[in-house]
Amino acid sequence: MRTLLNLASNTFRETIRDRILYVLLVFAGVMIAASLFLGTFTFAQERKLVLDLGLGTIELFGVAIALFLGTSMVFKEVDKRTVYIVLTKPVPRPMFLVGKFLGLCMTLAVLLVLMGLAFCGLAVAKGWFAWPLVGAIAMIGLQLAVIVAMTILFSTFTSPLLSMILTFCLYLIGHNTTALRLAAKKAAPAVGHLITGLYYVLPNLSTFEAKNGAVYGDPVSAWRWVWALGYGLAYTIALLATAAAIFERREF
Amino acid sequence: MVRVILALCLAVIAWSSQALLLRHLGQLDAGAATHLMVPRADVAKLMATDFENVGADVTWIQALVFNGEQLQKQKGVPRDFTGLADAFDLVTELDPRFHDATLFGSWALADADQVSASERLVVKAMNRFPEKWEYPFQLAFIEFLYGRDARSAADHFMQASRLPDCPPNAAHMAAGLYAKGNKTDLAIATWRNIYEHGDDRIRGIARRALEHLGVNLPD
Amino acid sequence: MMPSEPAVAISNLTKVYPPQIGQPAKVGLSDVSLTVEHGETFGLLGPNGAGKTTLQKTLLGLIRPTSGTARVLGSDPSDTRVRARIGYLPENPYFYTYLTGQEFLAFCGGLFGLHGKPLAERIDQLLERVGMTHARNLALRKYSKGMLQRIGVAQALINDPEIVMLDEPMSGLDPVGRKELRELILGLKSEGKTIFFNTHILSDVEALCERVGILANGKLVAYGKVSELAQGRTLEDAFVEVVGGTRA
Repeated sequence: MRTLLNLASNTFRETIRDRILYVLLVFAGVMIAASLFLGTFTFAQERKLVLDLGLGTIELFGVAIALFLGTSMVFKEVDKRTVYIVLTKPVPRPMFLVGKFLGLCMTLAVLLVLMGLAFCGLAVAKGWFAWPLVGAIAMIGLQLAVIVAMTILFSTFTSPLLSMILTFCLYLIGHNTTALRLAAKKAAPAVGHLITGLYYVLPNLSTFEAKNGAVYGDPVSAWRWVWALGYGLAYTIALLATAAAIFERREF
Repeated sequence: MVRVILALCLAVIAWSSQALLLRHLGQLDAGAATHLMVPRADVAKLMATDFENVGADVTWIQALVFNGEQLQKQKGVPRDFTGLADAFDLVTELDPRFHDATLFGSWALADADQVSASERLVVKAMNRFPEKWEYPFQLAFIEFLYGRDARSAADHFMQASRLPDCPPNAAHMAAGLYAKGNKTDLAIATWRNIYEHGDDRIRGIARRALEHLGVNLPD
Repeated sequence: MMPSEPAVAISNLTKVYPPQIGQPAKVGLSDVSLTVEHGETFGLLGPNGAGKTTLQKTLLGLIRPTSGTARVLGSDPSDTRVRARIGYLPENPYFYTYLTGQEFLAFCGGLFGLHGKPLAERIDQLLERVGMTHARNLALRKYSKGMLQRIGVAQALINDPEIVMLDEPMSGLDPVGRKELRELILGLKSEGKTIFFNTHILSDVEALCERVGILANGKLVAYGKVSELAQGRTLEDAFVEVVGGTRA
């Protein structure tokens, strides 16, 4: 356990210093400010616009940061051979990956808190604040954990660029699972079953969607929290277990 | 350094892809677009990737800007509101709870001489939210002031008056419309009321409608 | 009580890298057998590409053999627990450049389950031993090659290992640095540690090792006591003869 925290905090220290982070953070801030400007366009809709675009920005930039940091993490260690330092010590390879996962999650949590505070601060100042907004941001956090696990899986066997593309594709598909179900209905039976199978295997990221409702004050129900946490945990474990199995077979 | 530049590019792409997704490529190089082109609602919904609200907001801004551009045109220059109905329809498909889009959208469409489209927009919302008095109330106004269908308008004012929280003038309007006789005075009175109590964007519509009825308001 | 198994026991070890696109299969090691006794200092010599690093990586579980066996301290190298008793310095190592020397050693010590006061004291001792106390709070990215090598040795010793594996430890060191490292290795010898080091510097082998192995093209072409191998010549002559004869 101590070793795991040691690995996680090392990854946290590594990623929190990455310059990409600050570029994207500044961008996110600019976008949130820009949404305020856009809000003045539309009479009496400033609140909706700013909250919608603000939450959308937080999600997009969170995903971008997870992609940039996660896809290069394992690759960098192998490429720079720092992996020799860890794997020649009594550290099981799965623990190495889980440590990376936890460390990056810690970094994303810090970023999410920063972006969330800026966003909620703005909402409070304008008198638009409601707790469902915080719930929506927390759900984004859960989603990001699953995305980080995806990047780690891909980075155990492929280049950072390909990892990024694959993970981004899964992100888009994960939010479009209704399209898959429609396709399954319209296709021939055999193909339909295949597509249905795919629907269950591919991540259903709409599980973590709470942005649209939060702007209208919809809280995330207790049942939805349980389901999101359970699904997120199960899917993350599956991804990391697969990553560990692949990593175990790798030679350095 | 490459990563930083790549990150900046992707950030810009990710952000603007919301708007780009909903703009027809041909429109980008038109100074003042002649038509507003938006994707089909069912396609847009499939591609929204849980960013329906953002898609609705972006389309909403486009529709308002387009509408404003057409209204700004000089007298004598033909106005073309083609695509406006599709845009409001898309907004309300992506975000059905965007009530203001239905309400203002129906005014803008009726003002643009697209009365059927205006009524369709409101009926769609009425079917989705049967408990909201605002929709039959709005439909009644459109039918009376633009559609010249006093009977249907009266029925809808009555329908609104039976819904929770509806203001009492719904019933008064119904009564006035059920009564026989010329409705022009009632129309003028109604528009004056709207002009006095509405927000800036509605006032413009009311002013134009009154001018059409031969009433010129002071500037 | 002395353990019955040698510290390192390799038997008919073969490693063949599968063919890649455009490249045939590559033989990394071919039927290598050797042992290293406890407390012994063993040198593995060979030209670049001979398979020295491959051999050490096999002993550390970084590479799986195609056939044959390797055992370290009586255990299979894939057993994570045996690594608690091993110290390793890779060739031309890269460390986490954003950490200071102190932080890096603390991280490494943490991986062995060390923490608190015992770890802090151990770090102090090691920094002193490798002559890096003055640079403990400097970020590793500011270290010279020689400094990195020293901190590398320190992390290899953080767990007070029974066996220390060094891959080209002298590379990047100036003559003063090399002398200091030799003395350090002699110090480890006197503590009874087993030392297994890869090198192509013959004078180091002559000065430090009891026994030596010479690898060429993945094959163990010579193996035994330094004096036996030299047979009255210099070790260099013996090396050139043995390696020259097997050059492809």
